[in-house]
Amino acid sequence: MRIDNHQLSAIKTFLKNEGVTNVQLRDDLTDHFGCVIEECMRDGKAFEDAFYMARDRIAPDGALQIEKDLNYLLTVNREIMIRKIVFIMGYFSAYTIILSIALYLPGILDANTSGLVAMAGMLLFSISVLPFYFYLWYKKSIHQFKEA
Amino acid sequence: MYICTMYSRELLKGILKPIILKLLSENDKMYGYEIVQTVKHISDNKILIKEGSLYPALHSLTKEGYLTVESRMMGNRIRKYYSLTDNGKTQLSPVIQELTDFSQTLDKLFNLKTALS
Repeated sequence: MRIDNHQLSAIKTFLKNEGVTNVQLRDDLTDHFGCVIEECMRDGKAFEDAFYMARDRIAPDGALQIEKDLNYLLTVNREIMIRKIVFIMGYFSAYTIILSIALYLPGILDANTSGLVAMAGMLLFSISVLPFYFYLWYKKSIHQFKEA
Repeated sequence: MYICTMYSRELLKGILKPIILKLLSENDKMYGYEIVQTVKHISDNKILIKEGSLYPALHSLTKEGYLTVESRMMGNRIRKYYSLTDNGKTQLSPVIQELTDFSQTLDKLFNLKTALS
């Protein structure tokens, strides 16, 4: 027994309403829902019952959670790499600023040179760490806004 | 989430991708539902792959270049068949070897424990 176009449309609407936006994943899940529903319907269940069974089996935490898990898996390595780079840049910028002060105070560097070194550190901080920090802040506020 | 099973979930973390690679090496191409059913059947219902883990793993393997996808119309809907790429076939051998070796080591370890006790 195969599901008809109307039933297929109900599955697609469900996935769309759940917020699944990845087209490839949506195709996968639509087919998977179809297979499970057809399996249940072969056992004599009505489409509605079969659909709820399929939903509980395939997406007990919601279909969007599958997309979130997918996005996490696909981006986790890149995110870790970006964080590593930003932390290293943050360390070097802080180190440079501290170094400029530490060398200026005992008179090893004159005011101009230590000023230049400190400025280099601040520049590094402002072009690497600050944009990342504000990007994370922005993402967090968008997430909080959506959750609300 | 990973895999729902008679075995502890912790035991089976990390073997989903090797399972997929191994299955696809023995079957030319498979779709998601087929993979779940095949694993369930072969493992005598001891390993039930959760769909919430399967598709992220399939898409991740595809992005890493180990799998390729072919879409076909099956009746009124699209079915996506996954198959191993040459890169995936190359990857398979060390992955299986590592798991087999790990299994043998565990076997040795627990046999030793038994012998000592």
